[in-house]
Amino acid sequence: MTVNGTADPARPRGRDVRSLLAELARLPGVRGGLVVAADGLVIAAELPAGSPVEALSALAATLGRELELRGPRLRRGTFQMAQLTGTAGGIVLGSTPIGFVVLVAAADADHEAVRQALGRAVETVRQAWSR
Amino acid sequence: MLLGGLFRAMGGRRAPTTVEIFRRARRYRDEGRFEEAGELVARGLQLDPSSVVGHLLAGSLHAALREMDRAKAAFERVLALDALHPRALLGRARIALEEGDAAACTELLRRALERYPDFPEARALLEVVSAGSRPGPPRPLAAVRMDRLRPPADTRELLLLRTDATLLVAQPRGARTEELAARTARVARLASAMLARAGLGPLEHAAIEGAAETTLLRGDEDVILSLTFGRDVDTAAGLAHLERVWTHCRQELAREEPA
Repeated sequence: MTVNGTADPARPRGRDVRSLLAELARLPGVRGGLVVAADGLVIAAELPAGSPVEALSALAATLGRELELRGPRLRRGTFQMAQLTGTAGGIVLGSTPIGFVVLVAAADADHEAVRQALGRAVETVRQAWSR
Repeated sequence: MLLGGLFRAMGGRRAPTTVEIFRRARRYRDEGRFEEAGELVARGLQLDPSSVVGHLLAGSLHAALREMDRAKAAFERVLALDALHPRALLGRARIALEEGDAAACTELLRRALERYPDFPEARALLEVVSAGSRPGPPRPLAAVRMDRLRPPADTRELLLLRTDATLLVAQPRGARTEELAARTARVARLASAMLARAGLGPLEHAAIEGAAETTLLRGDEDVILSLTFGRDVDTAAGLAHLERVWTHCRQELAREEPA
């Protein structure tokens, strides 16, 4: 499933998560991504056709919540971002007030650049939704 | 105010129906406008307190806002009206997993899949939960010696556990260490499942950044190692430490294996 975002000039940048995700998905080496609410609902998806969007969204929301709960309850500080590295690529997951932003990157992507870009996007979303 | 907007959208001719209210609420929810959606759902449920759609939306919105007690109550209201509602079962199952109740989570997911075998979200979660309930390989539990693992001096916490969350070593060890071990095992399983679903191979390592600390994870089919450092740790250096301590762990575990 591919849901392409279109920019809405009337909305603050961080409120238009579809456009934000579309920008992130264009980073070199990034295969795509998702914005998923904490309940597992897909808010935006930019993944290649045939990707298991539903399974990934359920896993991402559950992982994101697990990482959030691991934080304050266990006095480890609020969860911000996680980088998962596999043998053939990686996933970066960032926490925002509306849910989790997930990027899927190939092995040859610049993972530090992807992490930093996601960090900036997460901060933009946080600022827009905490008003 | 939101309802007034909806009334005007209807041309001001009549009050919106609950179907129209919930439809608008769903649209707001899909856009991430959870508070606005919640106001509409509350109004819709005042008009129709036994609406399955309304209670399901309420559960979804509470979960999206991380209000899990209220989400749980809403999903249970749906299940009281429709005992096999798959989305309510999934929502309730996810909360059971957060509460650490893997047995309840499994039962709820199985019920959802009985009704809808083609339910990818439920199937993906059931695979993760089932993997966690399988006992780890039989190994002696003789204490792994911390001094032989040689974690770097700036390690705030070290955990070594089996993939079934059985703790092998923890430093420091406190009242919440067992809970942390269980959560760490779940994080590793979920991370592995996500990578596998995305076609990115098995998990090599994970880096989890919090406001105060950074945790690095490494694991295989038997054990998981977790090292926690301060927030400002250099990730590359931290990963080098992780690999070194991991090698020591494997050597220790090999030493503990029966001849």
